[in-house]
Amino acid sequence: MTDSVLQFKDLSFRYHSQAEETLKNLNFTIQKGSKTLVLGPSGSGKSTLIALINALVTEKEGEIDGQVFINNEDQAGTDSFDRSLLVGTILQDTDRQFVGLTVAEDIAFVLENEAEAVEKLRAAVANIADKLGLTNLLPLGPEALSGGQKQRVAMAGVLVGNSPILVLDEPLASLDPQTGQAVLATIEQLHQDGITIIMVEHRLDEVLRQGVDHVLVLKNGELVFDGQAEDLLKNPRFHDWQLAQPAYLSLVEQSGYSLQNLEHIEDVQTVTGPNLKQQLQQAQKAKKTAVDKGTQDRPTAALEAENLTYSYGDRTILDDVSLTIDANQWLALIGENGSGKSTLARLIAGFLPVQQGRVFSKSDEDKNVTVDFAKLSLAEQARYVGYVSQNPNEMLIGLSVFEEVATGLRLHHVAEDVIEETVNFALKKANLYPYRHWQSQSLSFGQKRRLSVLSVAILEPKVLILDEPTAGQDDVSAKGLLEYLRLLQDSGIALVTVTHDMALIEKWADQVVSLVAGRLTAKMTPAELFSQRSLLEQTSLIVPSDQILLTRIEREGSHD
Amino acid sequence: MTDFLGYQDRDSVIHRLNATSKLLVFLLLTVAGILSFDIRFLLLLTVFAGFVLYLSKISWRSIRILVYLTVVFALLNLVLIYVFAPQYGVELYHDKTILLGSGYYALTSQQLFYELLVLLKYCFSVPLSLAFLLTTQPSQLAAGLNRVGISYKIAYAFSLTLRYLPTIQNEFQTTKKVQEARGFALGKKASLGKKMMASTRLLLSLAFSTLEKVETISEAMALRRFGKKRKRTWYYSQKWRLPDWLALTMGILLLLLAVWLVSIDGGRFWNPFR
Repeated sequence: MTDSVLQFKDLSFRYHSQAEETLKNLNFTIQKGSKTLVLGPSGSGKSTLIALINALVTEKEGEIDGQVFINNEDQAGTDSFDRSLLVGTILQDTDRQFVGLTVAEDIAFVLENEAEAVEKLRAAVANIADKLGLTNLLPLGPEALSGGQKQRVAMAGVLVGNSPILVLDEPLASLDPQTGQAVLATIEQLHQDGITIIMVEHRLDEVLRQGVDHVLVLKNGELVFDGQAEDLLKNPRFHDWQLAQPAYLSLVEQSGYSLQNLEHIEDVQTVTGPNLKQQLQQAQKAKKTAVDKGTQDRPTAALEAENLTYSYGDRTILDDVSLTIDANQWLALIGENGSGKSTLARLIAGFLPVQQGRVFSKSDEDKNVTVDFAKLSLAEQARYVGYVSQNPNEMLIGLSVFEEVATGLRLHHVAEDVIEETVNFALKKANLYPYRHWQSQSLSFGQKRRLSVLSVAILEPKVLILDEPTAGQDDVSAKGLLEYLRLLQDSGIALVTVTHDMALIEKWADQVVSLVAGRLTAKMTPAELFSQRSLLEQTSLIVPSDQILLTRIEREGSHD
Repeated sequence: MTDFLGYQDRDSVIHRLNATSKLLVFLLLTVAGILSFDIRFLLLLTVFAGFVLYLSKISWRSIRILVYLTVVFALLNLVLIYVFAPQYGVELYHDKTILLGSGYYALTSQQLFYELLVLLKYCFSVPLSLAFLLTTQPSQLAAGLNRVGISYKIAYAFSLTLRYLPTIQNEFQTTKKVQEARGFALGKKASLGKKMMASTRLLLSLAFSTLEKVETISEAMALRRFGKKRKRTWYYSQKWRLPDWLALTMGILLLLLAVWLVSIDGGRFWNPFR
């Protein structure tokens, strides 16, 4: 018996402004009460797919061919108001989705618009807030909430309208891994309650930990996969679809073991296979000997921060923090939300005034002279340290791509012919050269991020500080940025990334420091970090899935 | 709760009043105060407004700057009235009692009396506006505006603006710093012309990103059925209680008093010089 709640039948869609179809002949059915994950690289049509489900995109915006059925009824001609009764949508940007002045008002929004009686809507808000653990937050405004709390408020605000289908556009995008797991657990709880879940998300590794029933993969507007997670992970074309492979499967694959031999491949806690243990242990041994060969000289300091204390009102955010940023190193700065890691980054970059302590560097001209940043203007300081915000809108000012990069050099009085050459060279390295005449605003999100890095890196600071460089990007785009950062590192720039991206920390960073309650831990290697459960807990990280697998395999006897 | 326009979350008689009744009383008294040039009435109104501000438990610190600014503005206004129309009081009261000097700029008690009336208008309107704005939660105000007949879309737009101002301010601050670091002349050392040029760029890019924000926000609102019905209810709407009726009655009585005074004074001005 098929109990279909949503069905696409021969559905194609083309925006009026575009020549090519964004979605091509889609056919799929989603079962009532199921949890579906939609995957696909940026530009594959995922957002349009969602917009067709919730009718934010209709015949007004483009040409729709084929049919969308909800509860077996053809939805042709209905608008987003009608559709919102059936489909609740949570947008990627929960900050902008928050339209009330307080949590209570935001949750009540849909009922207010239905002109529901005040007593009834207040009762409904109290009820749903209780269910999602938001009761204490009801009188607070959005600025007092964490990312995970905003995500839960957004869910409450949609669920209170009783839509039987819940659509989530990248719910994890701005969350740290621990909060991400908590949000996924809430989603799973709703799934258990019988709500149909459709979720677009890049972070496959983390989503799999709570399980999914059904996976759809889009590529270039076509549905290339429709089935279960197990079959997706074993699919030989997995890598062609540019999806982020879960870390534990990359580990298995790199050890030379075929994924086809695995059982329970979708669950890191139970995945097994004949001789898997032996194969993994052999690969680990080989890796260790390779690492031991590389020994390093004592690094020189590119920049130092000494005894920084910073408070906001009567709240101490940083408590006597000292940090040396080593030349040519990639340092990951981690910590849970509100631990002060962004504050520290901004202090070092000169974006916040130093209250106590100092930030300094050795002078370029004379190695025996130290330059105290408090005495420099921001423009002068830019020679030592550059800062890249996570919001490209704060970085770019609507010039052409070439000009966005050239402006910094021009303002520092570099000769015009040198500028031309330097900028074009850099644009090529960052894969932005073909777009050099475009307006910066018309680039994709990932391209904007690369351009913001470039616009700062072009001034060749000794240290480049990046706030969440990979947040909100798909695997391909994030790797593109990281590879470009690696080039910068090789050219002699030290990198500091404020992040909770597990893959970045594990695979790219050389060193990690964590901020816990305003204090800085010692520098360590990523491997050392991931072996300390309590530190992971304190910094809102989770154990990477490859480590989980290795530990599990170690512990299990060789009884199979 | 956002601090802008300084809604102050306290518990006072004035805070507990319904936003609609507060809005109505505020409007009634403003009309009465604009209408009347009777010093007895304006003194009464000033004392009343001062009392309301006292009841609303607003700290002096939080309104200090605003009050200083108004005082400066009011004094400037008084001086300018004297500069442009030094004999206006004489015209009004058909009498001339010279206190100082002679000729066109002679200081008369009639002119002084008139300027005192103008000063009193500031003295009642500033405390009254403060007591109204600082004790009314923006959402309740939106609900109140809607209740008195303003379209809920406009009322909501108002409260939404208050919701987003802090976000936009923060974004602007970072953008400014980023551009300074790139070498844009925005800091203290830059010349005025350069500052203007660079600031214009920044404001433009801020406008772009704000517009983009507005689009997402309006989508988010449509997805939650904003604008579907002709009516909407408000989570923060409040019941009418006895104090609301009392306040409204007081407002109406004061307005009636002002109208009655106009009729017995034979005009908006009460003339003590007769």
